[in-house]
Amino acid sequence: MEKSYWMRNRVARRRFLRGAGVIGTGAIGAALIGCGSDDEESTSSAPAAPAAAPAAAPAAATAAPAAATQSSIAQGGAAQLQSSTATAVPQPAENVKRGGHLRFEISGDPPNYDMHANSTYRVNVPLSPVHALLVEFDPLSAVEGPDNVQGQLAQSWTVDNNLKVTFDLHSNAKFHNGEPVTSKDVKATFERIANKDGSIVSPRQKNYDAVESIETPDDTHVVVNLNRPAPSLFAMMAQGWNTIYSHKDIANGMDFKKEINGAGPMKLDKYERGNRFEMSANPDYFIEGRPYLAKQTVYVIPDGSTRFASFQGGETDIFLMATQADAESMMDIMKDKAVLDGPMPSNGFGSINFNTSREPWNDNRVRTAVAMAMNRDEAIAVLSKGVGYHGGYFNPNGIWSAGLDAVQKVPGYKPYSDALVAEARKLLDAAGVPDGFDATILTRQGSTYENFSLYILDNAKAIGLNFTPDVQETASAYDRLNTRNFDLAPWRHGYAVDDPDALFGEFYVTGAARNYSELSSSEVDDLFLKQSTELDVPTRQELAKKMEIAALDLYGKIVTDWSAARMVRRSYVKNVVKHPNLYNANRFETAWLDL
Amino acid sequence: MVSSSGEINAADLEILRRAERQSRLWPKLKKFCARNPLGAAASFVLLIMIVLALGAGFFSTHHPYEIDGLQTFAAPSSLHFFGTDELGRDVYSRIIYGTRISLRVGFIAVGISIIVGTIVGAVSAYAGGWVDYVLQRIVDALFAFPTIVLALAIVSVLGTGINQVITAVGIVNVPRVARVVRASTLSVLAMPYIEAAYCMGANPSRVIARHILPNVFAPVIILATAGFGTAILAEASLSFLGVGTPPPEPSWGTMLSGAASQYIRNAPWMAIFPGIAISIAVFAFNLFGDALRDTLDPRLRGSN
Repeated sequence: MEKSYWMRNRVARRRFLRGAGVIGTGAIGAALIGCGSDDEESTSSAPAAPAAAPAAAPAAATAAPAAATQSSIAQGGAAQLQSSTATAVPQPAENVKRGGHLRFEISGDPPNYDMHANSTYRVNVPLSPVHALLVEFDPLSAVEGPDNVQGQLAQSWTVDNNLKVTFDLHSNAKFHNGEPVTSKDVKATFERIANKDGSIVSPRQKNYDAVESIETPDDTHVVVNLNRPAPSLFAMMAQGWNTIYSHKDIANGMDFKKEINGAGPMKLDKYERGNRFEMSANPDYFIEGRPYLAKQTVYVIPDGSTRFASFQGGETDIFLMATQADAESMMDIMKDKAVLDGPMPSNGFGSINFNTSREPWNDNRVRTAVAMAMNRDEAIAVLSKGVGYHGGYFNPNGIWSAGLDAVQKVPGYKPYSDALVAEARKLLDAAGVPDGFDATILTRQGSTYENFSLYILDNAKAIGLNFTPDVQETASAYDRLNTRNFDLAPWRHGYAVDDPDALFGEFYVTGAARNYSELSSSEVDDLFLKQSTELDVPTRQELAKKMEIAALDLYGKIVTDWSAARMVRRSYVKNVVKHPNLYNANRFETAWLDL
Repeated sequence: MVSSSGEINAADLEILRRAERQSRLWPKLKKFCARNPLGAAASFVLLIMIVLALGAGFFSTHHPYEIDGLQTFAAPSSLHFFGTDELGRDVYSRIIYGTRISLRVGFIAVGISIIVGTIVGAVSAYAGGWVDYVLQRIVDALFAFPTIVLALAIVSVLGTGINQVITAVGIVNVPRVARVVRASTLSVLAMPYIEAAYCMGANPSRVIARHILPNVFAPVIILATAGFGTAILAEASLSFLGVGTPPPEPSWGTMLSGAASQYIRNAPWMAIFPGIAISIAVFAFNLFGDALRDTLDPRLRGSN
């Protein structure tokens, strides 16, 4: 009698293992996702909880520093440059516990160490503790503007006639190699950033167009002479990017991409690519008693799930790159063991850049049509996961924005509708491409940018444009962007200061380093110059608003959405305030752990 | 049917033969199912996959690229059987369309590896001497690299894209096929009928084409079926690593990577369903390959 199948086919060990292995594929696949990449430029573009109510900031946010609210955008500040009197360094509260080890994460390695030549938080966040600034935004206030600028290496300054600023430096500051920090270092640093000799790629070089010269009468005094009044000078100088380099290092041709020598509260002990930055307290730091921390470790964790697990498991103290979904899930889990700072309006936005040296992108009607075809409600829903904002070129929640009503009068920024899409089709018809055309979208690898491209691709179909994503690894994508080797380049940008000089100087005026479409107009440039020298804030605001509308109408860069920022930290992490961007207040020298 | 002379004409004879073949096929099929129920089940799954791939437009409920900002992260429901992803795209429809990509990768990549591997293996064994030595050292060199590492290296040279992935996956499987075909060819070359063919004046190409290849075909078929699963998994792995099928193509591996990892706590269906699809496909191909080996391999035929 024939045996049953199951009796006949006893499962051999090899077969069993193979079967088990294959069955495990799904589970392994799911587990493998822990190796995925996350390429967001900043948390400001980080998405929120699925189907979460945008305004539903968890109650735990109330435990966050009070400044981490909408008030963070109430900036703009002083009409004129104001002198500062020397103030004593604030003494720590009695309950400060020294010697802690602060650990947090970033989502990828920095391209190099050079703070002056980069614009990614991957450089700024891990390396800021190594450096000192001349002036800085108050790290314990989320409000960033000229009113919140305080000295760091500068203990005070005086302003003469709005055309001359004299900084008085701390005399006891030293670089980590033991050399004293002098006025020559400040001069060399800002001259390097201004990049008059074109020796580096300096994204923020236009910020210092008003600086005529820098003098160093002695080792502790720096005189900045201006060629015109520059109301935003201090805000420009306070950006976390302006770390002071040694003039000797600059003169000796030190490779700042590979070497580092700062005067900050932490010394870089070790950097293992793809793994971590390890820093220990600088015993010779010029502010006595600081930093409170003994160590800082910044882990490089590309995968979102791993970042989440690291924080949940206690391997990190701050969840810097939390998405809104992460933040809310984490707060559900951690309850009062964690604090959610935010979400708050951030200096981050999504945009589409056009290569106007290629047809038909040199035709304003085509760019306008693309702008009209973008459903910005959908952008906020799918790109910012519901926690985002409509706006133009200025932060829509800031004081410089022309306001949503004015922005939405610009044809390409009108509220999305079928009629607008039909209008866009007419523009294409008038531009001689009634049947649309094919083009590629330069797409930086990673879900953030790939999704951004898919959103554009999907919306462009409505007007007959057939776009294909051209996915490039991050470094290659940057290279293609900088060499203008693209048709369309969607990019998420972040910037340090919501100030017309900073923003337009970096993105929109003629010759701006990140004006990737290379479109500008004399009207915009003239308005830029006027507002840049205008000392009366309301007048400057009016000029900035006109400048924004004029620039929007060029469609060199189409803004799709503005995003929110947030941070989760363990409740024992004290004296850390989330700022609306990732580029300032990253030294954590006053942070301490209540353990 | 039968002529007045009592002879059956040629057309009718062909019909009769076909009917006879069909009548033999069904019992064979039944026998196959009885002896290999798992293999039969795997065959059925593969058949479903092929039907889904061919009729993706019919079986899907949404366009796989369609973004819906109002439906992001929707949980599985009657509207979206497998839920939606971070862009509001229907996961079920993307998996259905993803079947096309997986089968396309499987068929073409396996085709490349089988054709190239068979040629290399047969030539290597037949020619012997320095040709064999050189070809086998190349095969050894390719064997030295882990499959996925070699595929990554090839993709990094060729660039990203579905065709590049297919080429890479095909190339990395060539050594295995070449080695098996070489071994089989060497054993076939020692058979008396090969000597007989030479004695009858057959030239080398005829000997290879008519006498050697047909006799090494069984292990090649088994390798091919097993290779399907490997190819699908390799494509998924490359896509997962970000160098495979580019967006917006709904590759299963791509669906598993990127946003799926980011939102796995909030929308686990984004990872679960593509993972299940990969598992089922690879499992089915492996079981089918096992069953085919049991059927075709004379050493296993009839054994329990």
